[in-house]
Amino acid sequence: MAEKLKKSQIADVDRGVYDIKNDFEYSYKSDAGLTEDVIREIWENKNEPKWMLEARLKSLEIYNQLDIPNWVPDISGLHMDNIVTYVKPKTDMKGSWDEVPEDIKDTFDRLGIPEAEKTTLAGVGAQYDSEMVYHSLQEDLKKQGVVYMDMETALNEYEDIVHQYWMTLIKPTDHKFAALHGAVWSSGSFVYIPEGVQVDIPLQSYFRLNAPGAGQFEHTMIIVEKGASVHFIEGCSAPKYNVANLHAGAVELFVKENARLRYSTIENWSKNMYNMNTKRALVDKNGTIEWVSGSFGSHVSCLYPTSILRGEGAHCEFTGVTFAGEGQFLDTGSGVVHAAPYTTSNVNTKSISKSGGAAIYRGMVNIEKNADHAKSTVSCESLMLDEISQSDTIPSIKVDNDNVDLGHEAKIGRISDEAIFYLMTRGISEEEARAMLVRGFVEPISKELPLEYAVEMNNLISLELEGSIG
Amino acid sequence: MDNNTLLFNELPRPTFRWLGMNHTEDSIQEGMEAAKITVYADEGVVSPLKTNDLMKADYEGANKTALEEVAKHYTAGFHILVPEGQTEKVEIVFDVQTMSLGDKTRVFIEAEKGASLELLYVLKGTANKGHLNLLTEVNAQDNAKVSIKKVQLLGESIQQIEHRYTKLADKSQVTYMSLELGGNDNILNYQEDLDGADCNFVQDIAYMGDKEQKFDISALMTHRGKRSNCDLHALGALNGHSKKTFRGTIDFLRGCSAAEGAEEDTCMLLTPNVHSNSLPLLLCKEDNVVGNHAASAGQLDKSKLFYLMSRGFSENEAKHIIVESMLRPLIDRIGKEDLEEEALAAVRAKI
Amino acid sequence: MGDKLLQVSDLHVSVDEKEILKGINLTINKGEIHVVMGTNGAGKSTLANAIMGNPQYTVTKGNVWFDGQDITDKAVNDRGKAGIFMSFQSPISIPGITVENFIRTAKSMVIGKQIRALAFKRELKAKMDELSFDTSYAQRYVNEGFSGGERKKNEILQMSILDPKLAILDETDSGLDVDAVRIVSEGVSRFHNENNSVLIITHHNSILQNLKPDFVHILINGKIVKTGDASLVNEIEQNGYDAYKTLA
Repeated sequence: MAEKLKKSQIADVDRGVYDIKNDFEYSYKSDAGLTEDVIREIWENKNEPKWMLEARLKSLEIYNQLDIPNWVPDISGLHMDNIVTYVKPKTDMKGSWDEVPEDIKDTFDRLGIPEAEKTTLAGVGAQYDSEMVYHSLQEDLKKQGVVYMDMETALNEYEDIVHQYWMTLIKPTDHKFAALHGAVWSSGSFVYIPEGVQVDIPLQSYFRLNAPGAGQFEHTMIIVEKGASVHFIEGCSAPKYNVANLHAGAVELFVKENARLRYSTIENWSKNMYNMNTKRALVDKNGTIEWVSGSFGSHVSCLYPTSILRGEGAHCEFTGVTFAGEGQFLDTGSGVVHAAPYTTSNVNTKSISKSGGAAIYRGMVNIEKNADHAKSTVSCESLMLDEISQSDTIPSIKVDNDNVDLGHEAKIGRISDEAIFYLMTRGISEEEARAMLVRGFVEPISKELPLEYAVEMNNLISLELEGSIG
Repeated sequence: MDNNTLLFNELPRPTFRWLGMNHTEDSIQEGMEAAKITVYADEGVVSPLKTNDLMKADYEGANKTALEEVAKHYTAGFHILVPEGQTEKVEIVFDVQTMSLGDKTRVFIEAEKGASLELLYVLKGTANKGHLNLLTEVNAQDNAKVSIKKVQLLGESIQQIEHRYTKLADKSQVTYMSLELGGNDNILNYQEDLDGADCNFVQDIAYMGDKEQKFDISALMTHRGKRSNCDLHALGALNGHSKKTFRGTIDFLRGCSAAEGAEEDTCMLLTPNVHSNSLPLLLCKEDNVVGNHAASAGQLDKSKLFYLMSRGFSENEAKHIIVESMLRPLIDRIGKEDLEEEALAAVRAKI
Repeated sequence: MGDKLLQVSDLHVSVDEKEILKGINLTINKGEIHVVMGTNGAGKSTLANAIMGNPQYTVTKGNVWFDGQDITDKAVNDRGKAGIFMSFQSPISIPGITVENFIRTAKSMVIGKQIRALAFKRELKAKMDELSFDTSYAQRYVNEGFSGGERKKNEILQMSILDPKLAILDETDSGLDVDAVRIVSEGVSRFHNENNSVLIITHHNSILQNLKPDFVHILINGKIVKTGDASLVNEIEQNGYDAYKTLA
């Protein structure tokens, strides 16, 4: 493993493969907007099966018909009519280290991100050869029948499975960005956990996200068969920088009977990004989906991981934290559909806004007619760090069955002067006292994260808080 | 959506469209004749209303068309004026006995500095067709105290559209208490501007639904005043195929330092065919505030049921007692014995 | 003795523009134990909070000197770092911050350098054992779900680790059962030595069972009306404050 890692860093420097690919992609250029021809070109270049072309074209048709939802934050900075430039892979995005904004470089340094990773995260081209890094991991998993590979390869090697599940959970008709994704998606992860297999180490898409074309329209599909379990970690807490500023990924999670999936994300897109991501999970009988979701980056985010509990006794656990700073409008939340008896859900979110940032919690709980004995608890807490920021809570609760137990609670407030005083009497400075209280506020989230992520998240919060106290 | 369909009680900040909860689609039921209205008040307090303008020009009510109907073409209009420092009591009784109810009543209340008003609305009668469209505007000046109680016992097929706008000045106190028991299609829209410093607004809405009854409640409380305070509680039980939609918004605007706001929606579900929707929004642009909201829905408390049944009550009797005990404190606040009994009887008839 | 640690001179303090303290003079030397007793609302907690520098208490006149410095305008945390500690009457809970993390952060602020985690853990465990404080509480959030007694123990634990020059105990014994009062009293007694001082605000003599106060002050209506020795405590326990009320 050590040798392999080393090798991957050498691959870092040797960017031959990547550059060739870029030259190739550079060859198609279209200013005419997103047309059928563009889609066909994408498809041809990718060597995909015929049904995928049909799926892409159908999505394009829907994309052209749908409008942008009226409730989303202002995304006028996103030029939808020029969307093809976002689709056109990578050429523009290669950039150079010099073009990476100073604040991001600075954050890398302060978070202690190694040199090699910095360039990767900055999206300037140098990257790990993910196949190599994961090679040995895959050997272990392979023995158990676990499949973990990039989406494009999966489409060839496991075409039947991919076809069976492809955009069945997130349909192109759901909204404009889902349709766009269906038309132009590229890269992403495919995970298949066979019946009864317990994967003990978390699978991380850390490297994979930095593969060419990834990180913008990536498609993640995870299928956890009966009685199996896995923890999947997406992203990391250092900012990811991309010249193009739209992210419209899709995550489809299928949790079968008695299976368990934990899906953790620390999202920290650079602050020019419009993050219009869609994530859904379909949970069968007695299955469990656990979401751990941290939103720190992007200019505008619309992100509401949604769980559809369709099997009796299915369970959803959602833990989320959103931190909106200057110039950020983070509209995040969660959705739960209780579509079977004895389904339970537990949603716990915290948000922080400061320096004019807006943190919005938008939630949805639907308890359907047949969801006898359903139980749902939602708790949202918002913290305002100054008087120029914004914090809204917009939940909707729909109950169509009487035999339910539903509770929803939300609180908005600021750090109490009393708490600051108490900490200060012990010799702690006001700045540190505030930082401690904010970290304490998000502690229920950080304790759900693997240690290295929790540490990075805490560092990130300290960085965000610096200079905001006065 | 046919031609007559209108959007009622639109959410101030829309959410996911596919939920279909951003507004309620409905139409205004046909009806011609006004209700018989009796006003009980001291001389000089109530006079005919002489305006077609709205107190707040951009208030849209439950629906703009419905609001305009009552604002401009009211069948009855009252101006209640309580001069500075005075205390008054007014009772307005709507008796709907007609074959084709089409009542549009408008009430404009001015409570001058330090004035105090108690107003009771009673809505009842045997009419079984048509609609009642009621607009109340309240201007509570500095230190004024306004208390409005409403007992609604309309017939089973009546549509009730109520719009109410309230403006609270410094240190004013406004309380509302309503018992929504009758009517088939109840669309209630309440908006409060808590403009004054230290003003206080409290509202309790109680409902008891059965059959196909609908309660569509929208409340928007906007805090501008420093240390302003609001507290909204919707509380009720649903039986039969009844439906409740609660859209409550507390909006803390920049500058409303030390304001506090709370809203709660508590719904007891008595049968499998009821529907309960809840959208309790908190919007906040000021850091020095305390905002809380809570919503809950569920069946009767099983331990209470068990306790009562262990004392010999049948399940049905026990249910009666629990629902009654929830609504009773509000009923007891009406302050008129015969009306309290009538309300209680209406609750009992619905379980 | 005679080495001045705290000197309060002509201290006037207001809360919400209402004057609570009306000219307090108090000198505490190194090694001394002082007790302040008084009726409810006399201003005892105000005195503690004013010395600690609670911004909700406004000093309108007079000074507070500590360890040779005028600290009247000093920030709370600087007073903490300088060696003043206050045990709160009702300590708040802080969700999300563990007891261990909290005290370690405070300690490193007070001594001005990072502390090694393992050494600190050992010290914390030892001190918790001394206070019969369940060591698993080190990993719990500060005061979250703690009983009244556990909160007070947590205050004494912080005191013993931060090792201040002046410990102010604001009714630390109130609401505690007999055993808990004894543990607190023993804790204070262990802490006390000739180089530090203790200011105890109390209604009862039970917290003093292991301590020997040098001075006892009676505070009534914002003024110290009588200063005496330890015998004053028993006198008050028996006769109440009536005799002193007229002095205010």
